[in-house]
Order: sequence, then C-alpha cells, then structure tokens
Amino acid sequence: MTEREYNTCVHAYADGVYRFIIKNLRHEEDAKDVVQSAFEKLWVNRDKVDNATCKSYLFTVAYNKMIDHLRKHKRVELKDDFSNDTRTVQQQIPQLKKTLQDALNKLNDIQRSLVMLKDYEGYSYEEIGKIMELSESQVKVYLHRARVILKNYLVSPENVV
Amino acid sequence: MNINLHNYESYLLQYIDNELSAVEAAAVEAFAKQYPHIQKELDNFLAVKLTDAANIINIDKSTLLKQENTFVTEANFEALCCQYVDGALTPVEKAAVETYATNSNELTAMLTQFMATKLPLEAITFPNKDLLLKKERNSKVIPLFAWQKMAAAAAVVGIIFSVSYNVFYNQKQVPTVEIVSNTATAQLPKANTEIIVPNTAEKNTNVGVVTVAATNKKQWKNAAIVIEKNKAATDIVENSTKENYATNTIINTNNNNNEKAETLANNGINSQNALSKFADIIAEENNFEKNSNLTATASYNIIDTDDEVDNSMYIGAIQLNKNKMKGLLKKAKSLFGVKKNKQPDEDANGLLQVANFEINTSKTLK
Repeated sequence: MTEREYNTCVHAYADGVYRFIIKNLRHEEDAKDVVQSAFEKLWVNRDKVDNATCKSYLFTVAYNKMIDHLRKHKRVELKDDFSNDTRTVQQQIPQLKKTLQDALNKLNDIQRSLVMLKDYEGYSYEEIGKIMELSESQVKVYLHRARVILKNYLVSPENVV
Repeated sequence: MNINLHNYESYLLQYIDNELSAVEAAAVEAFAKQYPHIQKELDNFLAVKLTDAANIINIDKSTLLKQENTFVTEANFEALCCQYVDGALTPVEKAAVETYATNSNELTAMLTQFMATKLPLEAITFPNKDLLLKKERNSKVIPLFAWQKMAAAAAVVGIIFSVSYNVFYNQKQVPTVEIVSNTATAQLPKANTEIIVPNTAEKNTNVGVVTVAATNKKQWKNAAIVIEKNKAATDIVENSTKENYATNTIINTNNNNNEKAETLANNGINSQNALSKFADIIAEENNFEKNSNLTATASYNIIDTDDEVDNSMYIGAIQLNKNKMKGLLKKAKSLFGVKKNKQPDEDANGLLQVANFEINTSKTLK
C-alpha cells in the first residue's frame, strides 16, 4: 500500500470508523484516540494489508482497540443523558432518532456493535463475524436478540413514537 | 320378484344394505308384514345399522393441508423480520415475508416495528483528518545526492573504459605508425611505437614522426586509417602494390631482421622511396615542415597554425578535449569530496585518488 492509497483510505473510511467508535464509546476524545491508533496500525502494517481489505482491517482493529479501551476503563454504567457533556456530539435530532439512540444505549457492547456494523456499514453476517470474531450463526442470533430488544423498547408504552 | 319363506333372508339383507330398488324394498316390507316373526327379524337388522354420519372424530387438518407459502411460518416470522431489516433476504423471500405479514394486522405491525429498529445513517465527520494523513513522496524525484553519485560513477566508468580501451584494444588492433626515413642501413621501424604526432618537444614546435610498425597488410591499412589526416597514405597503400609490398616486407621484418631487409633492398625494392613518399604525403597533409636541423629526413616540424593553446590530448587513438576532461575530473573530484565532506585528496605531486584509480593531474591536464 502506497502513501497515496493509505491517504485514500483515510478520506474514505475515517468518518465511518469514527462514527462506529463514538457511538459505542460516547466519548469524543476517546473515539479520536481509537481511530488514530487504528490508522497508525494500518500505516505500520501497510505492506501486509491489501487496498481492497483495508476497510475491514480498520474496523477490526478499531473494534479491538475499543474493547480494550472499555475493559481498561471499566465502563459499566451507561450514561443516559449526555446533554451536559460538552465532549459528546450535540445535534438536534428528531424524537424518533433520540428514542432509537436511547434504545441503542440499552444494548450491550456486542449487540450495539453488531447493529451499527450492519446498519451503518452494510456488512454481511460473515464479514461482521470476521471483524468481531464470531461465527455467522452467532452474528445472526445476537443481532436478532438486539433487534428484539430495540423493538420492544420502541413499542413500550413510555416510548411509543 | 318372488319372495317366499325359503328365500326371504337374502332379500332382508339386501334391504338393509339399500341394495334393492324402491319396488323391491316395498315388496320386502309387505312380505314382512304378513309374517310377524319375519318383521321382528327385519327390525333387529335395522337396529344395528350404523346411521350416525355426524358422529365423526374431527382431526386437525392443518397438518394435512399443503401450504401455498412454506417459507414463512408463524414460528420463524420474527426471525425473518430481523433478516428482512438486515437486508439478508432475497427479493423473493422479502416478498414472501411481506405477503405473510398481510395475513393479520398483528403480523403487519410486527414487521413495521422491526423495520423501525434499523438505524438511520448519520453523517459524523472525523475532525482534523490531517492528523491521519501521511505525506506522499513523489517517486519520480531522485534525491540530489543520488544524482551526484550516478554522475560520479558514470565519470569513473568512462575513464576506466577509455583507459582500458587504449591499453587493451588499441595496442593489439591498431598499431602505431612511424615513418622512419633514412633507413639505408636498414634501420627498421620500431614495432608498436607510440604515436608522437604531434610531439610537443618544445613549445610551438612539434616534430612529427610517423612510424609504420604493422605486422601484416591489414594492420598496415589500419595504421594508415588511424592517422586521420593521412588519407594520402592510405591511397599509397592501396594503389601501389610494389610500395605496399616493400613496406609490408619491411614491416614484417621489424623484429630486427636486418639481413632480410638488406636482401629486399638489393632486389630493387625501393622501400626508401615508398617510405619517403609516404612521409612527404603525411607532411603535406599535416603541415609538417622539414626540419633541416634534424638528421632524420622524415622528421618534420608541425607548423602551428592552430590556437596557441592546444586543447587536445590523446589517449591511444582517441582525441579528447583537455578542457572537457578537466571538467569531468573536477566534477568527480568534487563529488567524492562532498561525500567525505572534505576537499579531495590531491597530494603535492598532483595525484588525485578516484576510487581505486590514481590520476596524475599534473601530467594529464597540462
């Protein structure tokens, strides 16, 4: 991989990886660190990584670094309200989106990652399995459970949209 | 139909089984009325006849019925809704799920709720991507130092080639040419004598001596060609067989075989005339002037009609421009000097060390 190809990867995938990580970590600075680490690792291993597979490589590395980060910092409690946290992404979002985001926060790390890799990046079950080191059937089952949780949250009386 | 006491039983059974026509059934009924014991027998048969068609045990036919759409079932509908949202179904399968969902409002609502769990795309930008980018190096740009290296290497290779060409090739292939006059005493031309035309014995006074020292006719011809200005000499060789032969004979005996030379001379082959003629031609072509002060009649002074400073130098048969060679060597010097970050080594004797070669700048360039 040449410098030019690497820089092309940066422009093509930096936003997607950042979105994936920040939605999981819900912390801007930590997400930036993880993304930078992932791209640094790609640069170091650029001779071993194909241009065609660099996207999945980036997501794999970013996901693993995110898990390491979570384990290291032991984030157990999920923050429900980030409105006073200046480090988080602030944007006006419709009620449905906010409810969906809240529902997303109810999932565990694996379920959340599965849903985001599926919906944001459009990966197949097999590709998601490779990134997260799960079998295809595991991906299907976990994703199914995640969707059921999201659906039940959305249709619960207090959250009816 | 003749019913009597001997054959009425078969008619009774047929009556029970509804095998008789209406007329025959009426006849059996009329006969039974005539005989009370036969009527009682008929009634007993009718009592055990199964007549409750409605008393049938109903089974669940759904397990027997063939489903028009077997892909989607109630059991797998939820899982298929998730796959529907994941985009993991083929268009046919998607249509099957949609069709199945229309079976009831609940199924439709379930599918709709699952579709609402799909995350909408959000545009989130990584701030300051410049932190991630790497500077691109132009692969076509060759660093300056590499150019210097290449130029120095090319200069050294050129010098080596020209020197070895002169040493190994010219000496064997192209002999020197020297015209030796006054060989009455059979002083033979020296073999492979170095070309000393022009010979700078004194400033602005060049004594031109051309020596023929070839060992065969081909070399003689080559020797003539080597001296670029001596075109006339070549003509002599080609047109005058006698002279050529004589000259060649002398040449062939240039290993100091005086006896043979004398014999040839006595045979009337005037080698002196050939050589003298050749010398005259060469002198004329090269602006040589006979130097009466010199004993050798074939020695000529070159009239220096060119610029005061002669910038030519000869390495073997190759005429090189001194200034150009100077420049080339200076460049090589400076490149090696730059690399070592010091002035090039040139000792007091004017010896310049270039790689494994020592170049005497004082002799070469002056």
